[in-house]
Amino acid sequence: MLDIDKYAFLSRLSKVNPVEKIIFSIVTLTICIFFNSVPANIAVFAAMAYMVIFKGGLNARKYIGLLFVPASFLVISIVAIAIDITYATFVPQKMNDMVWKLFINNIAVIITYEGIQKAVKLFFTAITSVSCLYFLILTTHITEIIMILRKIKVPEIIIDIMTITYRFIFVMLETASCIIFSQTSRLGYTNAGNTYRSLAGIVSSLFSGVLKKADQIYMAMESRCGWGCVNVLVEPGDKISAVNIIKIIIFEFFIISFSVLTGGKYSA
Amino acid sequence: MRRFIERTQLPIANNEKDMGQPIIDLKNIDYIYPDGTHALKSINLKIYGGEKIVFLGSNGAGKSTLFLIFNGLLKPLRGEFFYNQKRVDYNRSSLMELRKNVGIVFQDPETQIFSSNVFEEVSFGPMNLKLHEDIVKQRVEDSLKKVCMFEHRKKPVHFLSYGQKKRVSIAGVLAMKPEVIIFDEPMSCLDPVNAKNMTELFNELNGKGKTILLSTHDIDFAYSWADRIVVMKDGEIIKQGDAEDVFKDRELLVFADLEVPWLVDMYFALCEKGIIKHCGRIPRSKQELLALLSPGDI
Repeated sequence: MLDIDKYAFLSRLSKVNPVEKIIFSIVTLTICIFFNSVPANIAVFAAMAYMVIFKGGLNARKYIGLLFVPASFLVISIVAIAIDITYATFVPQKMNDMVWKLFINNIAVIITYEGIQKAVKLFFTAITSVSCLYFLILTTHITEIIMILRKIKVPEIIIDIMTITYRFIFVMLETASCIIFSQTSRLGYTNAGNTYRSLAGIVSSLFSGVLKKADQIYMAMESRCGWGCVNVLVEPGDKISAVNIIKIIIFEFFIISFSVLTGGKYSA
Repeated sequence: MRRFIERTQLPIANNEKDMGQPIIDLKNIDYIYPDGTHALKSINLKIYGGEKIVFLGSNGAGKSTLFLIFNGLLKPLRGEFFYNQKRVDYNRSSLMELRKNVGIVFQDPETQIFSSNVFEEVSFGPMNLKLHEDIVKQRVEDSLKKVCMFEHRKKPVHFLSYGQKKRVSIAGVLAMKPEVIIFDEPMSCLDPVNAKNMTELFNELNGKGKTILLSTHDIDFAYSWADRIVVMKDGEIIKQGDAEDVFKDRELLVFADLEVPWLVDMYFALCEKGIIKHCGRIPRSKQELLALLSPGDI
């Protein structure tokens, strides 16, 4: 979470207008899900990785590490999709595309060719979608995303909650790390017993500490004539670059045609 | 040299000449916290436009509470508060008027900054004043430049250092262009360079006619900078006057747990040894003391 925040800020692409990046990421994501073509998805995945690693300057190892987080969940879920578990009586006598089967008493565990195909397709769609969103969050800082949401007139209450929640993540982490340091310096984590006691201490003092900070911040907002709503001015960003938009259009056009060309074989 | 003399003559002028109407006028203000702490006990205080006032007193003396009263964040239990001769009656419009004119910079910038982006944070105050967006943008840029944070305007707040956050919190108040600016212990946790810049900022703001109120534990700074010093203890103002007046009063200093500024100590020690002669006025800065030591150079 925090690493992503740092990578986004340090990325070489962070200076690019966030609108362009959002368009690039969301449009590509929509095309991938819509056409659902495995070769096109692989191409998009490669393009996104190229953008983040080579254009953005993120260490490839870190990028792969980040991909492992959703990939592990994904693998578990595609296994569930590929394997069918049913009552043996429901399995037809002759099944053409059965790859592997196992009968335990009345229960049948079956892997079909169709199931594998579905799982593979789902895997690529999901991992490509993740890579599209990773491109966005690894190159665009959340403050800029909030800024864009504000511009496209997302209800103010949602924006206010996002702004303050985001700030408070850091307020809370800072408070927590102070408490952990102070506990560690007084040997708070030397054995299991006092570790539990220290953790209990963190939970209670973190809660009261953050509530107190929230109170103080509210007071500070009040002192600047704030009456419970967050009015801020969004700094007008740089102009959207026409060259980049043309590049994005060309890329999307290429992906659409590639999907259509390869889609016949795989599309649902 | 002349500048120092001019500056040190100011408090005398404050006391003797008619300063016009006070900008802030507190009459018999009492405040008791919900937990029963009697934080302010019948405070009477007049503050005039353009003053530089330092509030001294040990922790828990009531300085911060008084500051919250000035901004209308706390409503006194008893007593009256006049801002520009107008009684503050704690309805929305009078609080708007008060908070527009009296800005407060809190001690800990962490408790003041709510936004995650520097520019947005600073724009909060002026946006609440319902100004036109172009004016807000101009004000935000000007105040960020004033505190040397303009180049960091796009940075997320949590990537800033403590000193930078402090400067952002000051810019957030400056952007509202208040007449009176309150700083609650502005020098705490700042390194000497930042503290020096802060002093320069105070002087610059004061030069533009802003009234500056601040609390500090830095006696030497208070002594050489303030036009007027207000000493508080246990929720009461036990003394107010110009720096010399306050720091000559040894009994008071002991009573209020305050140290004697080294300049005052040194001056009297040098007088006692006969190295310099009493000249009626205790020097307010190191330069003034050095000038007394070598009168030929003046």
